[in-house]
Amino acid sequence: MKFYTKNFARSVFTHPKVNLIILFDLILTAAAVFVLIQNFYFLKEKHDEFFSEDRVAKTYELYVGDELFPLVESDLYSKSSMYYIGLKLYNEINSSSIKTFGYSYELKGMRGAFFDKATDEKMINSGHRKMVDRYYVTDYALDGLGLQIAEGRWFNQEELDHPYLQERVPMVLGSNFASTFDVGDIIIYDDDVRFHDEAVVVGFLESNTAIEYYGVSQGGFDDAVIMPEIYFFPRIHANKDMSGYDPDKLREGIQRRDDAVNYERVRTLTSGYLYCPDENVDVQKLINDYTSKYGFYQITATPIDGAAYSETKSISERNLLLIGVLAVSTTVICMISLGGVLYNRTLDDRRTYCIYMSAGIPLWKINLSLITEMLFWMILSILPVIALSLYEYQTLMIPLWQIGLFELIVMAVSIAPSLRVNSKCNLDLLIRNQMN
Amino acid sequence: MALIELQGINKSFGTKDKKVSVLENLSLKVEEGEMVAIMGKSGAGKTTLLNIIAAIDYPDSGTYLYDGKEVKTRNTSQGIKFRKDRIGLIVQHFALINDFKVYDNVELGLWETNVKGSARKKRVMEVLESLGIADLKDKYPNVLSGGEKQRVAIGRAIANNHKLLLADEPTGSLDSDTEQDILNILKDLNSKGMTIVMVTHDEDVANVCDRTIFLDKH
Repeated sequence: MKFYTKNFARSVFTHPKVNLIILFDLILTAAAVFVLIQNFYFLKEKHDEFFSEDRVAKTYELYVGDELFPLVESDLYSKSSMYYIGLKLYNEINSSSIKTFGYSYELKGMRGAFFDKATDEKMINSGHRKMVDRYYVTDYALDGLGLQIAEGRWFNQEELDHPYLQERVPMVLGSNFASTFDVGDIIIYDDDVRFHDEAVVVGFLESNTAIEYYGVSQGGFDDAVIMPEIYFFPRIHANKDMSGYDPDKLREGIQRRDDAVNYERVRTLTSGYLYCPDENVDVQKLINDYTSKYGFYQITATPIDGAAYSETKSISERNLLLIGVLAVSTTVICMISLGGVLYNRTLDDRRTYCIYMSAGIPLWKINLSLITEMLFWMILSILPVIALSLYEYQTLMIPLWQIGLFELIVMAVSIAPSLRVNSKCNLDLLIRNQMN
Repeated sequence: MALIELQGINKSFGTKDKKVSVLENLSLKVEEGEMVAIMGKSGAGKTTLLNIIAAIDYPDSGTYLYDGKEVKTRNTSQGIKFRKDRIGLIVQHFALINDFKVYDNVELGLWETNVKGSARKKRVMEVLESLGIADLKDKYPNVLSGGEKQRVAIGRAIANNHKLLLADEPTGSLDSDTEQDILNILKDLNSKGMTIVMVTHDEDVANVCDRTIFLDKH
């Protein structure tokens, strides 16, 4: 023990400047590691907070245009240049991992204003309340709205694209209708004014299903009557003035079904929604990439059911990478500096080490003494970081062992050349007077 | 029984192609309690011989017996252990640690022994007093004269009370008055039973010894 304390004291007072540099290097390394790990924890915590299972946004609300040049719906009327650009944009976006979708909601209406009289009576008998919610949906609305099918099925692609070409209009009903109807039942769909069609029930929704819309549970789908959006369009086209049912115009609307499909698709870009099942996709960035190609109006994607990826993770990762590079660079510079000064100090001390050995002190003790001294400086170098952490946050922000382990690695690399020099200490040189 | 017995020692340096033989078939005996001087021209192998006796270097062939037992040290660690238990070593330029006080320099010889605490302190003070440097115990070597430094070096070498003291040119850096003081100290140690082997080029120094071994240059 005497040897270790004496040699340590000797080293401290013999090489004060060198030891200061060693301490400074180690402090810098500890600080770099602290900043790296601390930021990693901060960013990870922030990332976890926003990207826990129930916070990751999968559904986004789309808005096109800006304050000065808002996009108006008339810009998208068929055959306008904006329409074709929008269509290309739609196809490109939907061929990626994100999918746009649209849904229209008609305010709650009296059941009798929607179904024919016989159906209405049937529902009264089964105890159904009088109000219904009518929805018209496009592709991907099932996932985008977070709906679950309890019985039957959702619309298939053909039904979504060409509902008016089906023998009967497909219809998915909310859970409150399950006691009245079965899958496959035919319902006369008649609002006395615009529509008179036969609809077929293809499925029922789970009760209380739907996404949270800006943190508020929707839950309005239990009384929902859902039909494909495109079904709605030809009838509106046919009955624009709301004064009656014009079969010619309806026929014309159906003939223009492809335009209608495309029109609805483009419309989802302007006032629709977006579904992104992959939580690692930066939705806004992806959309920006597409819109910038066509000079289209800017599309803003606002997350509805959680946080946007772009707000946190991608920025976090870039920051983390930058901090990591800086920390590693700092550490490497410190390691080189530390190794250099320690190596030179060991060369200076070789004569002393030879004297130790001539007095019977084994080499391993001399090396251990060097290592313990470095451990002392290492512990000392961590203190400023601890003090800073306690002062700033009243707690140790990161486990000490992580800084310690990193510093140990730095120290091990730095001390290796010195230990190698020590192993070559030559007592013969001391005796031949060449080391004075 | 001889304290040191070398039989047929050979030692050469250099590469396989260009070898320089320094010691060739060297045999010698040093009896316990003897004071022996080793003399010879530069390059004759004086220091090499001392290094072999001190287990700092190893012979290429031949046998080295210490107190009747063969010395088979072949690496630094074994050499250190051998010296720690058996040999005190003095070199020409004192080899003191300038950052240690005189007391600590002498105590250094006892750090690796079982002599601890008050016994160690007592032993260090005994050595310092026997060498007449007790009053210098709190001074650092850089304020001492050459003679005082060599006394400190001797103190460190004898602190362990080993049977054998090896000295390489112990008076080489000293003036004649101081040289005589140091020789008196060595003679005194020898008279108390310590075996001393010293390398010197000075005949006056060698004359103090019981016997002188001359090495020829090959």
